Amino acid sequence: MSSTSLAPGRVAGSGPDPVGTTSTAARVVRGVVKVLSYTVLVLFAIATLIPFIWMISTAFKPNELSMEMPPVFIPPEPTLKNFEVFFKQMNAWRWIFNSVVTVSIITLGHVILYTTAGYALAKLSFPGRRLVFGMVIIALTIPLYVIVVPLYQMMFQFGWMNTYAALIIPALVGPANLFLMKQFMQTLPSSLIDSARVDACPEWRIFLRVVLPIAKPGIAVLAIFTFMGYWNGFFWPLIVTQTSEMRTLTVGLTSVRYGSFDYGSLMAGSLIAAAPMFLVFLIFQRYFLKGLTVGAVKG
Amino acid sequence: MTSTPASGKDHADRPPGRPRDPIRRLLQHRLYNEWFWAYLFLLPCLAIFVVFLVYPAMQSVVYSFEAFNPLQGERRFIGLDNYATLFRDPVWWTAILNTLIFTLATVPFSIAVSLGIATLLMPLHSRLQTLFKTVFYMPGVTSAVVIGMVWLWIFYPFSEGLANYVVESLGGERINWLGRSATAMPSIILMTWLTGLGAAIVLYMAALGNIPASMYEAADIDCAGSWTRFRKITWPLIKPTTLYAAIIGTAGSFLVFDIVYSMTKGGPGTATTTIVYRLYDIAFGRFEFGLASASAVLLAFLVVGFSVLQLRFFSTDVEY
Amino acid sequence: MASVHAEHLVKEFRARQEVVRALDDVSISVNDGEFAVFVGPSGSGKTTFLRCVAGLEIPTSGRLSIGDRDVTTLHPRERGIAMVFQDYALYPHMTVAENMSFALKNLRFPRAEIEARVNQAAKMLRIEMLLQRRPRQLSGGQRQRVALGRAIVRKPHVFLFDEPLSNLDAKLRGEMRVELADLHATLQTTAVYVTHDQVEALTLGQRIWVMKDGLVQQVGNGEQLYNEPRNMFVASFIGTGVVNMLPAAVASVAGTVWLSVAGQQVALPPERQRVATPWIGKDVILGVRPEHVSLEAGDADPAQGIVRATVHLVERLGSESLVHWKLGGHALVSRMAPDVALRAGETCSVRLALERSHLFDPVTEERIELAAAA
Repeated sequence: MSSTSLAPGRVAGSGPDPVGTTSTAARVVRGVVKVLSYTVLVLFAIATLIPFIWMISTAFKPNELSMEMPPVFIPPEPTLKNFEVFFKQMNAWRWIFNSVVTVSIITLGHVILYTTAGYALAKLSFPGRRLVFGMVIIALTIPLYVIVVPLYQMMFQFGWMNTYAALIIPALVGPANLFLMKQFMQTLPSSLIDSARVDACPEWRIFLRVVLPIAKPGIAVLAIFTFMGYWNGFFWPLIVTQTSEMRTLTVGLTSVRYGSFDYGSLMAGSLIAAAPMFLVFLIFQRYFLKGLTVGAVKG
Repeated sequence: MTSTPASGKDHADRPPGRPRDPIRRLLQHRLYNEWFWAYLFLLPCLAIFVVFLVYPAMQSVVYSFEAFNPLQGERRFIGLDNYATLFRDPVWWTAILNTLIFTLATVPFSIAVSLGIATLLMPLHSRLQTLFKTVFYMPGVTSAVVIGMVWLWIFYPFSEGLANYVVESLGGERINWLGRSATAMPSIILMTWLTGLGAAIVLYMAALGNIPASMYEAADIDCAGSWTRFRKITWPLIKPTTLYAAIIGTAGSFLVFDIVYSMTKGGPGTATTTIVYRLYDIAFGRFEFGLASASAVLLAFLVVGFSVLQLRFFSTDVEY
Repeated sequence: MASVHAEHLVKEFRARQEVVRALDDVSISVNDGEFAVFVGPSGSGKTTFLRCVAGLEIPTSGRLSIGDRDVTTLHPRERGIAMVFQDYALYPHMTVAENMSFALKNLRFPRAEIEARVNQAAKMLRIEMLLQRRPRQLSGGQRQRVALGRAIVRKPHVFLFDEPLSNLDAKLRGEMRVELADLHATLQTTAVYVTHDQVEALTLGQRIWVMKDGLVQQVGNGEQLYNEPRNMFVASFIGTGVVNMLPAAVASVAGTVWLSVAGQQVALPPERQRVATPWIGKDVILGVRPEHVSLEAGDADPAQGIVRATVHLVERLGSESLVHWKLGGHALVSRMAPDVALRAGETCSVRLALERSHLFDPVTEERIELAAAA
């Protein structure tokens, strides 16, 4: 779709090139294409939003109305009954508690483990450094599904089956986070660390008092993504919990048996599962959108 | 401001009377000090990696050569029999086929459409950009389970489902989206199209933003058309991002499980059984740990193989 | 206060498969109280040397001592040093006062002493009003002073400077040079100063080490380096402007030694005759500084070192003119008066001040006086 047309017979070196012109037809076509593409964009956006809007509205609608067509998005009489049903029926409170506790501990663990390890890998020199980094790369390629069977067996052997230990401790594995923190720590100025060494600061104190304060943005990204990832996590909690009391929220949601029209309480439960993440996302938007680009895009 | 010369251990800025001891002497060594803390910082996480990642990975390989059923208390070495069983298992091949179809249908689409959307968003005001970015990334912060639940409504087999409502309004007949083998996988693919765009869009917008405007200005002066601009300037400069999105996206597609579990449980029949779902079924449905581990090993090979292929294919001239 | 001695210092870095010798067996002695400047292009090893003195790098082999104390492998905090970094390395989340007192707190100094020293240094550097501010609220020059203050407060035996003025604009740089000189006059502490700017080296350094490729090319004060450069590198590096390096042939004419430059003959001054004699029949490189090329009226006069050259381009800089000549096939640059009446294409007579020039061996690039001595 060229917007210029050069005069034919142009010969190199015969003076300045003639300037092209845009034909009216070409301009109209460009305009139409533009309008079309932006319409498609908006349609896509709406299509992405609709399911969420329906989920929120259904959570507050009485059950009979949930399957109405065309979909009513703003309930005429919003009700909290669905939430009542959801909380009464099962161990819903327990599920929420489990999710909150386990995911918080996991996130804290990740922050502690991988901030220190990432710092060591990025800023400290020691024999075997390249070896360790190589190991991390290899570890990155091992998805959970490949080790799930032996891990499951291990949970039995340790007697951790259906306990918080099983939900939390194996989940502390995070080579991706280690990689992320290493990349991030590398961007911090080494001269600060050198200066602190000259200033008689012990290595551990350098980490706590010099590095951590300026690493806050990276740690924030780490914490947010880790929390979100494990809050929405499903496979591991699914196989490692056997009783309803130990289930996390996401797993609990799938375990509920509803009649075909009981969408109300299902959506109420889904909303509770999704709402915290929505809130976190909307508040910390900057960090999300920034954090995604670390590692994939330079600069 | 004169000070005493540095003989022995006195410095002008050291308060008098500090004792020295042998441990301190070791810690004084510049390098040993640093090494000590480096190892200390790395030890916990490396230990966890070894116990809960590396060792199980090796065990997976070992299990794959065994007939291992914990429920029946069976465990013995059977060589490559598990792999043979898998090769002869039609459901396994169906799973591979389904997964491949899913990957091929979703990854290129996601990348192309995300790039297109990112390009469309670039000239907009930054508030609008953030709005769209937020909307498109919403599904990314939602659990696949929740998304599955909501889309169960959209794909409801009767007239009360949104999709059928649209179809019937256009004069068509209602479709049993998730209940018929012909439409089950396409439905899941369609759903992924509409929910999997956010991350790539954000990535591409960052990459596009990094292209210096001067490049485009030079192209304009050289009378380059829009398609040439894209092909010769934009595309090569965002290749690293495309590579990253392709590898991560492909790996993710190969491992799809959560939505299958929450929406179709691999059905109807085996129409939406993916590799991981098959693995889950073998491992925790039938408790054939040996067979499941064999499928896990094969899965790992597939994922790594594809990633390496993509790296080779893409990164001939990618600067990192 | 202490001297700094390096004996046969070698530092190797491993990069992928290669081994890079950043320091290639250097032996350096800095005297007590001296302001020692290490100058050279990037990769010359000057920063590596500084970091070895600081203890931020450990040499691969060799011995390093501060005063009588062997510090080769000691931790930086055991060495009695303070350092000013190129990017100032101020802790961004601490106030200026906290930045300056950080080291003393680590060393468990009593609070009263810390306060006293901080205030004293702040007064010396005129930054008292900045003590409660954070680095991001300061200008470049102010940050530099805080970095200096942080070093002064330590009362170290040796000050270490890693290109501290590189990040300042030209005007500030000039001001800070003067302040640094004053500071050294007041404190009299040994200083090891690294820079790539030869102007800083010449103005600040009591003794200057010129480094290239991990080796010390020459040591001396500014005058020595300017008037008696050991080799072509030092000659080109020290002094503003590009040194004219002209290939020349040495010939003997009627018992005296002459140079043939671009087809024209010039006589060597009497003091150079003896040194050049072994080079009769060989080629040398004649190094003439642009400020030693002058305009002459009249014709070429070989005995006076006057040759004919054609004007190629005149660059008028306001305070002076840089005239680019063509001498035979070679380029020649001269520094002349700002209003010199020359136009491109004119052929004139110029005098090469051979009594102030140098002759270099084309192969070893050393001054032939030294080649002769070897």
